[in-house]
Amino acid sequence: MADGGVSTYIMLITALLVSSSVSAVLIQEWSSTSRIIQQQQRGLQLTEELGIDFAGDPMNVNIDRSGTEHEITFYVLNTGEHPMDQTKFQVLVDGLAIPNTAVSISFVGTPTPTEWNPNVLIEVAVTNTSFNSYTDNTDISVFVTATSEVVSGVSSSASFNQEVRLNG
Amino acid sequence: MGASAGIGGLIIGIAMLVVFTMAISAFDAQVATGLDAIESASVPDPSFTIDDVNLEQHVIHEVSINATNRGTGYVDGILRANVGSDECGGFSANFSTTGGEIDVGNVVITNHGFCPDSSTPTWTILDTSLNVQTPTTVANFSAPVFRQYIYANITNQGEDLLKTDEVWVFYDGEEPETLTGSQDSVRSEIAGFGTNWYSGQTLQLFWDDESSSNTEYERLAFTAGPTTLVRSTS
Repeated sequence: MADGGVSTYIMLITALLVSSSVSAVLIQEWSSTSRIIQQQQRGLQLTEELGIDFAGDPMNVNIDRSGTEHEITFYVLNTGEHPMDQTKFQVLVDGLAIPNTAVSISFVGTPTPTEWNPNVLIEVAVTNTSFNSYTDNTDISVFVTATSEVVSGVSSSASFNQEVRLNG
Repeated sequence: MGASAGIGGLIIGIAMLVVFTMAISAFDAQVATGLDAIESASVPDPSFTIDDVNLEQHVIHEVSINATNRGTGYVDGILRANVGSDECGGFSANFSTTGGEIDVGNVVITNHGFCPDSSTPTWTILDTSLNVQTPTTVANFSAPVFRQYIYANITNQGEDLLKTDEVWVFYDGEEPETLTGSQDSVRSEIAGFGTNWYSGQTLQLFWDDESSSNTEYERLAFTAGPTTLVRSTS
């Protein structure tokens, strides 16, 4: 009887130890999974809260033909709720990716902003030899994508595609 | 045995409580995130209309007379302008006199009108009964300052308040500026008011284009958030 009592206690303590360690592992895994899900949801929510859009007259996009590489200038507005990173910016014109060295970005407004915050307008000037063949009233497709600043440890991107007409 | 069963039950109970707490906290977090997403997605895009845009070139912005050309034998009256048979869009200004001489710096334009070109118009000096005055010595007004004026009416059709310093104006797709910054600081209807553009409110806009080039813009574009509207000038 005494032996049976001891073995019962040993089994009970063993069961307690095993269940505690399993619980600890389970809780740890659950926390980790929960954190990842929250982070993904925060990312999705951030994506919903980001936005950039073409601003101005899509029928009057300026093309400057004074240089050896013609320059197209258009405007992009931060329509989201978070600051965007103007240095992480990609432009495609008629499907052609414009190298960052050929993209010039400047802030518009008085006083001139220094960060691309919501409702801040930027002027984008892109140059490429392929633009030299564009005449006035040519319709082109402009695709722009930009990355946001890091918000609560998460960063995401926003983009737009716009058909515009050139007018030198 | 009874004690061990009790302890076992306690362990199972605590384990269930822990699992239940974890499930509730995860559920709460998901609901909160979902509600935030719904809230941010439910903000409607700005909605407004451009009711009209009128552009007038060669508007007589300012008229002056210098001290040596004030004339004599005048009474307080009205100044009119015409280029040939064109009456410069009904231009009219009031002036005062002192001792029969027209006062310098007191020509008040009541209707800026607009002339067919930037040539100096012929001035007609009337009395307050609109009869042409017959002075002793004729006064000569200086060449006027011409400018381009733009008038527009825009209405906030959305349900949300917009801010005029968050609405951008483009002239033929270029030279963007905020609506607040674009307006004449003295004569615009919205000058001196706050930046709120309420739902249903029509803003009467007025631009005094000081550009020396006097570019005749063809299209004005307004951008508020993702909404852009363009209207040809008339």
